[in-house]
Amino acid sequence: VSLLSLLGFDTKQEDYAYARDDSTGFTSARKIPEKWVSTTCGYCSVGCGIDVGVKDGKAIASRPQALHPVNRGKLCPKGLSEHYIIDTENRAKYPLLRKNGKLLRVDWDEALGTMVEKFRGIQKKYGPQALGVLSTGQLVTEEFYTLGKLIQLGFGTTNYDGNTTLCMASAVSGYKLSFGSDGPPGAYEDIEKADVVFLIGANLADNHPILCQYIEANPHKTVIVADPRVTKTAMLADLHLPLKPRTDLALLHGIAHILVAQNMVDREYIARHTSGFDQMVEFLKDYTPEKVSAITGLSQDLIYKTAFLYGRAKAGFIGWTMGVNHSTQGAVTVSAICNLALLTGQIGRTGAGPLSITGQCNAMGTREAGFTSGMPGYRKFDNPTDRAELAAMWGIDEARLPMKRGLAYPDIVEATVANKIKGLWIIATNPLVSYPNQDTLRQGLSNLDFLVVQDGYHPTPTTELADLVLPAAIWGEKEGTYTNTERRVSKVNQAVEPIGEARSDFDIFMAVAEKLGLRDELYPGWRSVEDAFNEWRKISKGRLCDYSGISYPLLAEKGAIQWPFPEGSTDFGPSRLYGDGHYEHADGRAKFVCEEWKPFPEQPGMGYPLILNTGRTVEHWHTRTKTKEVPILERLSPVAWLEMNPRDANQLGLRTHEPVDVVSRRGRVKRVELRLTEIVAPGQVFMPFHYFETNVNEVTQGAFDPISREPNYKQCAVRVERSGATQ
Amino acid sequence: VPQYNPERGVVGKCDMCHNRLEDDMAPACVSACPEGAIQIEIVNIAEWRQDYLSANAPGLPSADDSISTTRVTLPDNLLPDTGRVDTHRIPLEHPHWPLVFVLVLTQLSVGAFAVLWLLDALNHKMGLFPLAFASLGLAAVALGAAPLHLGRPAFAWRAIKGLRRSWLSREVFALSVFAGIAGGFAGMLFLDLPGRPVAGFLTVVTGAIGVLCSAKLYMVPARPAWNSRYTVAEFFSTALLLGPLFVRVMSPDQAWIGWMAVGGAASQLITQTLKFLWMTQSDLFELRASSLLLSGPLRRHLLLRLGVLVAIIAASIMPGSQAMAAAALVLAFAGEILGRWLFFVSVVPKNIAAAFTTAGRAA
Repeated sequence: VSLLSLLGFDTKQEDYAYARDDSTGFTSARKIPEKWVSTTCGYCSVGCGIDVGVKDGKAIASRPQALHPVNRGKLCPKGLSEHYIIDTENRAKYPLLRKNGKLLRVDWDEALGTMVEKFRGIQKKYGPQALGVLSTGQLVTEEFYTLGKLIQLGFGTTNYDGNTTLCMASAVSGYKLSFGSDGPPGAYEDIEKADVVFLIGANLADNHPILCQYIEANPHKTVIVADPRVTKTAMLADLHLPLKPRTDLALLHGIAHILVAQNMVDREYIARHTSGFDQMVEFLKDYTPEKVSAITGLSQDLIYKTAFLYGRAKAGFIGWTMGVNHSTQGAVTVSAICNLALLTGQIGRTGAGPLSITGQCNAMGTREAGFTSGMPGYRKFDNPTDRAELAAMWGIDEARLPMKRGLAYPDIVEATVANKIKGLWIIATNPLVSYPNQDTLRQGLSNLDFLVVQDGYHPTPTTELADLVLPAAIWGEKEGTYTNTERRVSKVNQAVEPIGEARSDFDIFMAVAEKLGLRDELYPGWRSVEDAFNEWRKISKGRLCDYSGISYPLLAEKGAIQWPFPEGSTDFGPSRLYGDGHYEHADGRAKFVCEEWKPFPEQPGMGYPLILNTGRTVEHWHTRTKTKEVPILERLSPVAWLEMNPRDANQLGLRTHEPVDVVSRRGRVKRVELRLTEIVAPGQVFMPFHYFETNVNEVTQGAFDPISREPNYKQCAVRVERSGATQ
Repeated sequence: VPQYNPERGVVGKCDMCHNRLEDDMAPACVSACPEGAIQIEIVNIAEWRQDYLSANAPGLPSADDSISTTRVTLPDNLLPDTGRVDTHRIPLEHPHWPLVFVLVLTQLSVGAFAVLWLLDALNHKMGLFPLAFASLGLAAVALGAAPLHLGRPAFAWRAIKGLRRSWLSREVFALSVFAGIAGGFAGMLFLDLPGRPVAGFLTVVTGAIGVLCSAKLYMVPARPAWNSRYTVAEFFSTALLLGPLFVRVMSPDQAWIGWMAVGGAASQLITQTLKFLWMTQSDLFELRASSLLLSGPLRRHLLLRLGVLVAIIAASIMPGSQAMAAAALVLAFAGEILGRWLFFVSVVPKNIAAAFTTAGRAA
């Protein structure tokens, strides 16, 4: 600070000057870029088109693409400020290797050499499966495809899973149970064209705000929202179903019961395209409105109303997110949603369809091109045709393809606790905030011989524990494609050079393959991500997720394109799956899935009288490594809070805004700001999960869906006490 | 809402992006809002002044305060008991330390000159000029230090430009005139020139006008706890308390000076007590919130401040030594500094309700 500015002679006029520009109009000169780079938002999987403004090699502005088919000229607060996440203090800039307990800067050659030597050493000593890999939903599809080959064929371990298991695995499993394959059937256009929009456990207004404009644009909708909380989305609803926590499966069966009993089902569709209807009718007999009303706490009237609205809809849309997925019954609840669509034939046409609204920007890319719970292109490990086809295309011995899926995310963590996995590679995810019951995870990680964390940011709670930190380029610094919730493939482009010595994940994977001596075998002739994409197109050809007609030049010309898009296709309109009624089960039919509703595992009582629900807020993204660095977001939502109904607070003698501890059988979150509100019902409390300083996952339960392996984040038993009252 | 930019040292305010409007472009906020929640329209001022009720909304200050031209369109299904959510979290305001000292020191100086004028007029044959110069020095220090509070101290002189509208300009002007005349009066005391009663009287009048301007400056609708005659009473009580105590250090034998200080202390004690009671009984949220600050987190400060006044009353009634007079001055001065600090930190401004969580922690 100079004397001139202290006295007030220097007011930094030049820094604050205004100027006119064709693209921005009259605005701050600092905000006028030299060029705009077209790309796709890197937060959630809505997949908004966004332009990044670049000046002097820095990203200085973000703006929505006016004509983009998804966001139509709008962005949410995170998207509008996305350029701020790139050049931040907490970016990982150099490879860091732990020597004598301290993370010290090393060069890339030493970093990757050490990594390969350590991992190979562990595999030699404890067996190939002693290496585990946890990845993410935030790489580009090309990187997922590359990583899958590197892990499964290169390192030869199947213990590879992604953060998607904490997020969308239940949707994947539910689709597989019902339709015989993963793949969200609907399109965003359905939200705008349906006459009934039924949202279950989905708070779009906070988590996918841009999708709300589709609701708003729908002139003849009835919006039904099933959610135990009065979320911002529930406030938009015509009919809010404030059901008891985790009773959605019973509600869905109850609706199906009424649909069948009142003959509001499409018998022709059922006969031609489904199997298991008779067992379904038998199964549903038990789910009478009386019983479902008792389970869900909803009046019979509300249940009937919902069933009639959906049953009589010309086009009924059902969307859901984590309220359904984060459950030990997530997969079968997804199937129960599919049941409703199949019963009424509300699928595969405009306005009608079930649609899982996805979390991360490219969770879909890893589901299609990844190599974790299945083989690339929705291929199954146990399907001989799939195996032979893939092995032939890759030119490898079929025996090198695993016979079954390796360990899922929670089972990888359990295997570290059991000392079966000794080396772990964590890529672009932050389990020390996001994993349920943190104690188990910390214990598991402390058993490891070598932990590699590859991330765009350092320090994060996870990188701080690493033996090796690999700095990765992030959104805005690299190229590839994302696939969004409605199967739309969008180009992601590089706006600026990676910070420091950070390299794109693609480059890192190629360099690791090089160190393994496998680069030419795994990636013959590849030089860029486009080569990876072109190989993936061939692999996907003829599959449900057919990318073969999509190319980088076509994406540049036409913008984002929905799959399936086979070679030679010219239809760029909204697409839906299963329009022809042909499903991916062996018999070509969809299955009705009958699974009994069960209460969630840890019921309140015995000193833990409240049900804790977790979720998000619009200002923050996941574990907040990015959004904490964006002042306009951080200022709006700087600390975690606990929502509690005033009636519970009265009984406990707690006052709003005072610091409280949330205690479960597993741990304690200290000093959370109490927020008294009728948004949550008595007996329930809610807390956001973004905040590592007050991490709700210290208390959440490590209970997992037996099918999808997704954690039951949304309900566990806790008590709340004034901070400092005990201990 | 004006915002201070510490990097530049200037205050900026929304100009509705008038340059963009001239180019037929929407203001930046309108074009950026993802949900299209903001619109801009041309206001017919005459019509708006007739009916500005649609600027009212739950959690916002009343449109009466500023005839706000922000039209708020509320949802049809708004619950009738909708209100602000941050009523249980009342942060302390900024203390503005330079202003705390400026106010207390100028008031001390005005009070001291009033006593000096009376002493001189009553023909006391003592050398009053050192006290006069000391009082003048304190006022000069205060007025000289005031610009430190500004983002651009070199441009402090601009304050005088708003004489027709601004109580700040009037305060600066009146106190400057006071300092000038007081300097003259002090010089006349030193040289023993005639006409001193008139010069002294003018000094006291301009000083009193300056103190009144100071008070008026804080009496704005956006700060309900300041916007009353208690502010005037508080500032004059300070003058009446500290001025005599300051002079008494040099002439402890004049009993009536002690009684003046007792009057000042009593007046301050009554002012503060009545103001507190008035706020606790108010229908206005901001006033009740101010009283809750004073009876809650600031309770000890308030009790100390009132206790000092009681102690001064007791000490001033008894004739004492010069040392005791000096101790009383120091104590009373500290008490008034504490009082002025309370004045600043305990005011609860009228503002738009904050978000539910502790936004202030990051801001």
